[in-house]
Amino acid sequence: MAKKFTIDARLILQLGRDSIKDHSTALVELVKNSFDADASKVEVGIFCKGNNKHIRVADNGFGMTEDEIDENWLRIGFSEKKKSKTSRKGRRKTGEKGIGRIASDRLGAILQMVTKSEADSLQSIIVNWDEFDVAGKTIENIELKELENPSIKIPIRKGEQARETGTELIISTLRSNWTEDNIKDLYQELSYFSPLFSDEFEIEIKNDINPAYSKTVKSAIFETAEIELFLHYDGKSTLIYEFKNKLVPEKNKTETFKLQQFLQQEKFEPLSCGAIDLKLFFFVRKKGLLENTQFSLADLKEFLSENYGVKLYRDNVVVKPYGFANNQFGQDWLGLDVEKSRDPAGLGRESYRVNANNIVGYAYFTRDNNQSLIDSSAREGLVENEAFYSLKDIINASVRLLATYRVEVNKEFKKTKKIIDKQKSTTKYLNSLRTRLTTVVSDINEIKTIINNHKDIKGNPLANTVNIIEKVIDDTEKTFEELLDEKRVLSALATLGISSAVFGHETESAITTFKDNANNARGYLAKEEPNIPIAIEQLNEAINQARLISSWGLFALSRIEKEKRIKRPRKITSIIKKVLEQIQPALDALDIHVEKKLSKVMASTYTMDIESILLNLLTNAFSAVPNSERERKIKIVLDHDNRDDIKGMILSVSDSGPGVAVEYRDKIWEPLFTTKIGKKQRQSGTGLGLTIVRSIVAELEGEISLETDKELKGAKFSVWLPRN
Amino acid sequence: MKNIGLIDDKDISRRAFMLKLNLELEKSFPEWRVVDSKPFKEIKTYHQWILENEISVLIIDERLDEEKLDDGSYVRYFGSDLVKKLRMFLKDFPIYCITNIEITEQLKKALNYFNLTLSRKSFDDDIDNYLNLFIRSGISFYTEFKNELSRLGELSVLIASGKATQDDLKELQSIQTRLVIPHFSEDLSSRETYLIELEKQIGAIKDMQEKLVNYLNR
Repeated sequence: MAKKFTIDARLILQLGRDSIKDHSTALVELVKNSFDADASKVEVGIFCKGNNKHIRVADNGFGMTEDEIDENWLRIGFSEKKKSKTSRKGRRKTGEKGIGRIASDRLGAILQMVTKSEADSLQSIIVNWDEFDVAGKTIENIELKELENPSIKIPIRKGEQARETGTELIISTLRSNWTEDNIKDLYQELSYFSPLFSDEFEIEIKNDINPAYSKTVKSAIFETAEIELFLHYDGKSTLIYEFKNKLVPEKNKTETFKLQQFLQQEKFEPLSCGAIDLKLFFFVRKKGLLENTQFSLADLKEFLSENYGVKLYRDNVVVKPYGFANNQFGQDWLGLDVEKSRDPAGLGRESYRVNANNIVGYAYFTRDNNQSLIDSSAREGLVENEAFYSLKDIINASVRLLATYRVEVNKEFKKTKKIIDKQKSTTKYLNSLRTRLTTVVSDINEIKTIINNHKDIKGNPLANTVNIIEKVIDDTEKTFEELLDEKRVLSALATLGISSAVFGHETESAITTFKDNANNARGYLAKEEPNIPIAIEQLNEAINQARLISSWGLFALSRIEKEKRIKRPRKITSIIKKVLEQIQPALDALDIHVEKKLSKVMASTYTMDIESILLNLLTNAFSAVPNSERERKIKIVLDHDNRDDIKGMILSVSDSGPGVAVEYRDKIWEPLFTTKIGKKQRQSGTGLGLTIVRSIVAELEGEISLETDKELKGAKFSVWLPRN
Repeated sequence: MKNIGLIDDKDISRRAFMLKLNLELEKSFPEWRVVDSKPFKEIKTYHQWILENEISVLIIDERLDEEKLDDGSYVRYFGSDLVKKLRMFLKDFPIYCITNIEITEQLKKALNYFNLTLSRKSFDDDIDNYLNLFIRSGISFYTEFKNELSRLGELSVLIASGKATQDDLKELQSIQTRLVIPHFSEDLSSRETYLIELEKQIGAIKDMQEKLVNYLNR
């Protein structure tokens, strides 16, 4: 006689209990089933107060027919997910164990299931898991009943047409007492799980234990996006953009564009695609932004690989195939990768573009407000008419805007880091180092004294060590001082180079004219009939030009005198006057009038530093002044100015030039950035002048600022320096 | 017509250069002289100045906005801006740039508009050759200009006597365009603009004629 196994009913319970660690995991398993049933919404209710304690999981998925209940749901270990990895609507299924339904045993003893599918009438079933928990009872001996008067309440997703199919589970005779923390954990578990669902699946929790978590679950992974961009287009002429980023929160902003401004066209019609809401998220495949979250880099990569691209939603129903894999357009239906491959510029360049697989986005529109977006009758998708292309254009333009915003944010981010590095004064650092080393020496000296008092011969090596350290400190200090001195000289030489490039033109003109004058004098004297008046006129002029040339020579030679590199009390007023005298010929050559308001200020400082600051600021002013229609003026003001009980002075240089455009004001301090590339091109700027000024000011522990001069209307640079 | 025009804003440098050029011209081209001037505030003044002073070659500096004009203002253009404007009505006129500054990007963009762009040092190093080149281009310009005037006279006689062929008429039209354009406003930057303007005026005359005929037939 053939033998066969019988299965103890308890084994089923054991299977569920072994596979599912706790009650919140059990609930998540049931939610996964709803997702796999292509629901757009699942409601999870946990009610533990009052007489009617129960848990409810209801979705608007495809439901089940009687046959499906018999052949699939009631077959333990059967999982449709093993047959097909994707749901009917193409979702990637979330579990493969086929134990979701047994999970309900973890939650409560009684399970009532009501389900409605398109192909069948309302179906129901009641399971009492406690009946399985009887020793020696086999599974064949347990009979499941239907509900007497079944009814179903199918969840409705806001903005979406109500669905007539779905499944509702009510679990009663609860096994656990849910605490506030349990509800919080459940919310978090669902929020980490829901990224897989993206925006097409909504989970709503309702409970009477922790009301703070009675809400729609928001996916936590979107919080790891580096940049978020939300657009609301009213369908007429206004586009409202909201930009958020994780790197420099100060750069978060909301901007309103007029369509005219956006399209850069005088004449325009509202976009034929109609009103649109767009959400774009930019993710970086790096660990940085995943810190303090439960996501691993692998999770993020998987999420992006499944969800990248921009999906379209009409009345909250996804419009395929846009943003889905395995279709004629691919996930990158916007052609972002093609655009990127044309110009693969990095983040440092203005033309930077994003890769398609870094973007997750959702565009929402409605049938009523977007009547020109029509379904294609020939195939999946929309008719490629003007409205469709305008929709595609506005999404593409928004992605480009996101890329530009990312460039802007990253520049700011880098700069913030740089400023912190830059503003360190070497002297300050040296002083702190000296203090720390002196403390070490003093400690060791104490030990040395103790050892000497004990006349311990073993102490000799320690004494030698102290001597070495003291010598190293002296050497280090000397090296630092030498380096600082070298830096000072290099700054002065660079300043001389920059000012030579600017003022040098005037000297070159003077040399040419001097040669002409001298040759003319000789030529007109050597004629058969010498022209004495012209010869004398030309000789006189030659002398004038020679004076100009020699003053420039003196200016150049006096820049790096050793005495200027020593810190001692200096008359700042005299230093400024002397520099102005030396460059006066160049200022005269361009008819530039210099207005001076110089108070008598003394400061213990380096002449070379003051000269370098002043010359660089004057060079900028000299270049800027001829570029405006206003009278050519430079104003120099020197005055006492104490800040935070520190005696100081303020030196400002203003000009009547066109000023520094607001968008350049942060950039002008960066090395090699120059604004002297305008139409006039008076000379090519090196982009080093203001970097030198900033570096010297930082070294002297001062401050520098830029504003518009109210009187002259051009740029006004103000340098504050301590006087000690 | 044997004059070289020199435009520079710096009075002292310009005078020194003018005297130097005159000295050199006396040696090899004694009939030629240099006529110098500060830049003009209005570009259209150049045309008048060139015609009045019978200038056949023009030398301009790149930097023209450094020294004030007599009225205390500054010109708002460089040599490289000026040459582009001048070419609108002096298409074949010899224009040279001699500058003390380095050849900037802006100047490079205007190279095609100049007959030649030179640094002052290069010019001084080979002054005889360059002056020869300038004078030759000036001579060929005014010779052509003179030939065209004379040919214009011949064609006019042919037309007046009724002997002009279709080719003669075409040639006349072409010479007229070349010679006449400088007398129009500089707004007429090309022959096409000129013809469009002419069409408009003919249209206006036709309208008037039609109105008159209607009036007379009433």
